[in-house]
Amino acid sequence: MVYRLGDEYCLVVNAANKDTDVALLEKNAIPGIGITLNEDRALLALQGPQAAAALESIAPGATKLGFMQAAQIKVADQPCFVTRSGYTGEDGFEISIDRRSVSELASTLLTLEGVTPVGLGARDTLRLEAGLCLHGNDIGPDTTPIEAGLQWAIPACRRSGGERAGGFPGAERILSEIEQGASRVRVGIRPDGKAPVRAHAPLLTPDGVHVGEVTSGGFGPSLSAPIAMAYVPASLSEAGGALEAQVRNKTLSVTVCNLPFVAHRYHRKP
Amino acid sequence: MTDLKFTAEHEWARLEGDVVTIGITDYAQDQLGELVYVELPETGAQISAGQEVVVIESVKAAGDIKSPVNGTIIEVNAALGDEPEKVNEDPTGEGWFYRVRVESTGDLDSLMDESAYQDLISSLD
Repeated sequence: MVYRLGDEYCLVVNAANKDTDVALLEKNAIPGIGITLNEDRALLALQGPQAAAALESIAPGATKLGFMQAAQIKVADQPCFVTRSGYTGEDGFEISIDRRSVSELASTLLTLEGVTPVGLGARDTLRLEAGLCLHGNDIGPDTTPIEAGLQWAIPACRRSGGERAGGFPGAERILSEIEQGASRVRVGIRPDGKAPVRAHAPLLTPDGVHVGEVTSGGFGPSLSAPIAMAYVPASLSEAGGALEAQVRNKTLSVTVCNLPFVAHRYHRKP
Repeated sequence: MTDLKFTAEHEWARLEGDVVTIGITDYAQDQLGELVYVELPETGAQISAGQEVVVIESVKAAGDIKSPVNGTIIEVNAALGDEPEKVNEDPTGEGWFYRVRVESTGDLDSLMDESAYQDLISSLD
């Protein structure tokens, strides 16, 4: 996540990548740009259709934010950096606070009507239903944003012909894939039966040719059906295509489908 | 529930004549969360103790159920195909997995009785 705060930027990076990301920033920063690693903050996510009503009661003004907007707001009288964002596909907020105060704020949030604690399993189910990538599974050093369907992350000014074209890690391959298409792409997978197909299950064509691998998979409670994501050759990425997944030495029929499985319900401002 | 015997892997076994019915315990279903899929063995299959015979999938995870006994599968609970949630609702009743005709009822001697199993799960909490 990258936020523009006047003449500063605030980045919330993947915890598993922070050393790589900070090193990359320090190596490439132009003179005059300072980089501060801020490790005294903690992040709470309040997510779901009732998140706005709950937060408004202790953070007046928070609900004026639109999706991906941020503000310094007091939450339960504590200074916080609140953003209308999350990784569930639902409306919601991420609240950055001094780590010494985070337990108290979490306890306060849990007293609010409709707020309940959930674990990472629930978050993972939601992000899978929303078709969002999990780093380490669906994206990583071996995938490009174009393969992953994240073209939106490369603005026009950085693409070929743009005023600041290229010059970012992986630019050559990424810009070429924008023009010519990636050879493999991330797709949704719907197993035809009830058995979930989980990460690392091989995908085959009906005549047995290995063509890809499931990168995330599980059960989607909103669909009452198993769901998964995978990389397949671009020629097999059309929705409706029939493939087979290998699960415990059995072959299960699956169907390629579009993502997301459940429509996003972000609070976008017109 | 006193006629049940238990394994350390949280399965229960009920002996009637030379037929043993197998399922998972209430503790196991509670730990797994909502079951979404149960893969049962074929009727007529010969199985040996320790062999993986059932695969269960919950919203959280997949797991294997190993047979605690040697014998021949004579019946499986086909209703779980459409209603795996029966395992959550009634693990020692309608949520049974399969029935085995055992060669020796002595296979059950090494399993725990109810009170030993209760001690085990108390030690896990």
